[in-house]
Amino acid sequence: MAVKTITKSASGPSRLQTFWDSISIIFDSRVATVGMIMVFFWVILAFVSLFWTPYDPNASDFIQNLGPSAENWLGTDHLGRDILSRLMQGTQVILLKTRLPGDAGISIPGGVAIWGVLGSLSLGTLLGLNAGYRGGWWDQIIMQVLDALIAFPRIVLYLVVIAALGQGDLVVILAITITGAPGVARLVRSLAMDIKTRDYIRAAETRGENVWFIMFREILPNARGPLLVDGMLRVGYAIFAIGTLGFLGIGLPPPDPDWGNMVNEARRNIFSNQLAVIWPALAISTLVIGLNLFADGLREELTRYQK
Amino acid sequence: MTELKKAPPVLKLEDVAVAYKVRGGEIEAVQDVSFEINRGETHGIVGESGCGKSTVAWAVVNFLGANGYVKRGSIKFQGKELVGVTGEELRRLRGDQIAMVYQDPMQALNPSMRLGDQMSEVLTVHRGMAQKEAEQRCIEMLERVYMPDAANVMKRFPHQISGGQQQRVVIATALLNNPALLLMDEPTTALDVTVEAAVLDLIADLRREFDTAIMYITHNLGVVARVSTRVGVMYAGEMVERATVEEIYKNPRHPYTQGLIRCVPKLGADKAKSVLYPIRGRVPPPNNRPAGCVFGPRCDYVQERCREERPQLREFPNASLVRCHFAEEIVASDWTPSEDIMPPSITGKDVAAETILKVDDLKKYYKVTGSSLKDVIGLGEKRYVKAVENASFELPRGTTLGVVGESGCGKSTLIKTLIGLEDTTSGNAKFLGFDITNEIANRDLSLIQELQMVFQNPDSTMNPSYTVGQQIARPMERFKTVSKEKIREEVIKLLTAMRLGENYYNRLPRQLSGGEKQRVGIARALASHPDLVLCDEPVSALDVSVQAAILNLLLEVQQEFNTTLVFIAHDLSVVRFFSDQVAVMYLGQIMEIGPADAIYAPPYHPYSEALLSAVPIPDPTAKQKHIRLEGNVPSAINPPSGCRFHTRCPRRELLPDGGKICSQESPPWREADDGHRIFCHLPLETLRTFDPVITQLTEGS
Repeated sequence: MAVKTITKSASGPSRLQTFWDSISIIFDSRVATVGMIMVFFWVILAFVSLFWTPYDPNASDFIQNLGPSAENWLGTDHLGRDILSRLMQGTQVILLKTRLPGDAGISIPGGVAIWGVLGSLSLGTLLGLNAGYRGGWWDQIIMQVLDALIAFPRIVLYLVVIAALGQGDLVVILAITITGAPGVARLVRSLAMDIKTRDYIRAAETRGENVWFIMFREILPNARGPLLVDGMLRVGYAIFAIGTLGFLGIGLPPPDPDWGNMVNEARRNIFSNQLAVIWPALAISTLVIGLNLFADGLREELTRYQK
Repeated sequence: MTELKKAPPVLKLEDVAVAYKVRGGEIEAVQDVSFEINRGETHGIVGESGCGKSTVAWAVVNFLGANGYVKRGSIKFQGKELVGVTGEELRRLRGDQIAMVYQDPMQALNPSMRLGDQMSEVLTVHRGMAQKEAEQRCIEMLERVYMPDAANVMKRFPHQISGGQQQRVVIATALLNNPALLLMDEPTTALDVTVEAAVLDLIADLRREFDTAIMYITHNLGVVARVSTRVGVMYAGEMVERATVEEIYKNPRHPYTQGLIRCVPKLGADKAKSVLYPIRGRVPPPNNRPAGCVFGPRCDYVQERCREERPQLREFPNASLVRCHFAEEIVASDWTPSEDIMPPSITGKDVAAETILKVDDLKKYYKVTGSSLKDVIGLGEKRYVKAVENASFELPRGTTLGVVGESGCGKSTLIKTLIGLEDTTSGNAKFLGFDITNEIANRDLSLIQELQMVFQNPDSTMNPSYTVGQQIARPMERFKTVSKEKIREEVIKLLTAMRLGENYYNRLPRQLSGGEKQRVGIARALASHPDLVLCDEPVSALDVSVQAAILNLLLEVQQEFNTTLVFIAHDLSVVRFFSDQVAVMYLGQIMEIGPADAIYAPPYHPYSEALLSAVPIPDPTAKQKHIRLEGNVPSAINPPSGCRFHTRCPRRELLPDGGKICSQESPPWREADDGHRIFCHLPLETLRTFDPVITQLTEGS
C-alpha cells in the first residue's frame, strides 16, 4: 500500500529528489523502520509465492498434523498440507490479487485488503470533503447517515453484507469499504473544515473555481499526510477483518488458503497440534503490527516536520 | 556608566548565549548578549522576528523548554545568579519577583477560571495571603490599572471582557506582588491602536509609580520610542547596538539600526515625497549564520574585515554600544540606496481618470441566531450584525483607496462583499459599470478576472502542495488570458517583476520566506491582469524590512499595470504612505473619506483625530496630542443610535446640550474641499479649529 502510493507520486525526474526526501524520513524513526521491515517481509513473501512455494499448498501430500521438520518447516495441518506453503499463498489474496467471480478464475492485481481500504478511502474522502467543505445541510445529512452506520456493530455489518450478497472476494471488499468509509469521512471532514479556512482557498474562490476543483485539487492534496497514515492503519484493520471473517467461515472463499480460515480449521485439533493455530495467528499479527508501527512512526515524523 | 550605583542593577546579563538542542546538534539562538536594567528603567529590545528577542526573556526565567539551556554567560537578578536555578527556588521567583506579560492576553488567562480567582492565586500562593484579603488587594490593583468597575470584573470570565481589558488584568496580575522585574514580550502587538496607546500609557505610569525595572520586547519602533529609556537592537541572536532611546533614533550607528529606521514610513509621509528603503536579503536562520559580522551579507558598508572578523560591542563617547567595525565612519545621512533596493519613482496621476468602482449605500448585515427558546423555534426577533452600513465611495482608475479602522470595524467585510465572497444586503456597487452586489458564483468569468485579491497571512496564502509556478499559472489557465504554450513564459515574466526570478518556478511554498510567499501571492493576483486588486492587510504580518520591499513592489506594479487598489491596513503610517484616498471606518460606518493628506490634517473627524493621536511614532522627540478614547467599541448587533461614535466621542461636548443631537440623529456628511467628507454633527468651522495631532516631526533621519 505504502509502496504503491509513494511510487505513484514520483512521476517525473525533477521529483526524484523530493521523492527520496519524503521516504528518507521513514528511516529517521526506528519504529517506522521496524514496521516497514515487517511489512516488507510479507510483501516479498507474497511475491515469491506467486512463482514458488515449497509444496503445492492445496495438496494433501503428507501425514496429518506433523510438527516442524526439515521437510515441512512449519509442520502440516489436519489434512496433511504444508503449512508454510499455505501461509505463503495466503498472503496473495490479502495483498496481491483479487479473484473475480465466475469459473474462469480471473484475478486482478491488488489484494482484498488493499482494494477494501482504497474503496473506503475513496468513498470516505468523497463524503468527508462534501460534508467538510460545503457544510450546512450537506454536512448534516452526510454525517447523520454515517453516524447511523457507525452505530451498528462492525461485525454485524459484515454479516449483513455477506448474508445479502453471498461469499466472494468482491463482497469482502465491499464490506470493508462500507465499514471503513465513515471513519475516513470523519477524518477528511475535520481536515477539510480546517483547511477551508486558509487564504489559498479564498484565493481559489475569488477565482470563481468550481467546488469540485476546490475540494479535490486545493483541499485534498493537503490532507494526504494524515490520509496516508490512516490508510495504512486501515490495511491492518482490514487484514484483521478478513481474518475474523475467515475464522467465522464466511470470509474469502476456497480454494486459496486464508489465514483466518486456517486458524479456524486448526482450532479443532488444538490439543494435538497447537502450532498449526499459532503460525497463521502469528502471520496475521506480525503483518498488522508491522503496518501499525509503520503508520505510527510515519505519523510521528510527518507531524514533526510540519510547520 | 562609570558611576557606581548603590544597589546592583535589577537585571544584569553578561555574555549570555542560549542554545537549543535539536536533531543532529545544537543551535545557538542567542550569542553574547549583555545588558543591564536598573530600577525604574524600561529597557526596550527591538528586532525582527527570529532575532532571539523572546529567547532572551525566556532565558531570564529559565523557560527555555526541554531542549534549551543557557550555554555561556551569567544572568544576575539583584546580584544573584539565575543560571542553573531550578525547582522550588525558580518557582518562587517566577510570578513573584519576576513577572511576565505576553503578547496574547486571551492565552495568558485561563478561560475556565474567574478572573478574580486567577488573580488572587498569585497572592495566596506566593504570599500565603488569606483569600478575602487577596481579593481586596486584587480589586485595588485593578483600580490602579484604570479598570472600570473592578469589583465586578473579578467575578467575570476572560471572554466577558475586551482584549484591552484582558491585557490590563494580565498586567495587574503581574504587578500584584510588586515584582522587581517585569518582562513584557510584545504586550500590545495583538491590540488595536487606541487600546495599545492606553496600555502604553499605563505601562509608563506604572514604571514611575512602582519603580519597577521593565524589559520590553517589541518589533515596533514606534512603541519602543514611546515606552523605553534605553534600547537594545537585536539582530540574528546578537545585540548589535545599545543606547538611550534618543540616541538610537537621532543618531543610529549600526547599519542595521539605520536600515530599520529607514524602512518604516513616518506618519504623514506619502509616496510622492518620500521613499521606503528595505534592507536587502533576510535574517539568516540560527544554524546558518555567516562568519564574521552577522549583518555583513545585508550591509551596504561591508568590507573584507567584516567577513573575516566578528566585531565586538564597542563603547562610544555618548555611552552607546555598537557592534560594528566601522561605526565611526558610517554616517547615516550620507547613505545612498544601492541599485537592488532602489524603490520605484512615482509619477503624477492622471487626474481625469475614469471611475472604476462606484459604491453607493452598500450594506452588509449578517443574521445572528440567538440561543433563547424563542429563537430556536424561529419566533424570536430577527437580529443582525450590521457589519457595513451605508458605504459610499468612488474610485478612479489607477489610484489607491486605503481603508483604516480598528478590528471589527467592517473593513474586511467591505472587501469580501465587493469581491463576492459575501452577498450584499442592500445598496449598489458598480465595477466598470457592472453590478457586483451578487455572490461570486453568479458572476461572469470575465468580471471575476478583473477583480482579484491579496491576502494577509503569508503562511496560508499559498497552497503548500503546489509549486510557485503552478500556483501563478492557475489563474492564467482558468481565465485563458494566455495561450497554453506561453503560460510558463508569462509566469516567469511575472516572477521577474516580483523580483523573484526563474529559479523560483519549481519551488514549494515551504522553501520560501514570508516576504517571498507574499510576493507570489501578489503575482497570483496579478496573473489575470485584473483592473482592481483588493489587498487585505498584505504587509501587517511581515517584518518591517520586508514590509518596505512589498510596499515598493505594490507601488511598482501599480505604476506598470495602472492597477487600482483597495488597501486595508491598521497601520496608519503605512496607509498614509501608500494611499491616494483614505476611508476611516468605525463600527461598519465610514466616518471620514477623502484624499490622504486631507485625512491626516485638520479638519479631522473626532475619531480620526483620536486614532492619529494613538499611533506610536518612531521618534521620541515628536509631540503628539494626547487623546484617549474611553470604553470599548460597542457591539455591532446593537450599534449606538444616532452617530455610532457618540458613546466614545471626546468632542461631543462642543455641541449644544452636551451633544444631545449625536445620540438622536444620524450626522450629515460635511463636505470639505477636494472630495473630503466628514460624517459628523460638528460644523466644518469647528472641525477646522482642531490643532494638528502631530507637531515637531524631525525631518529625515
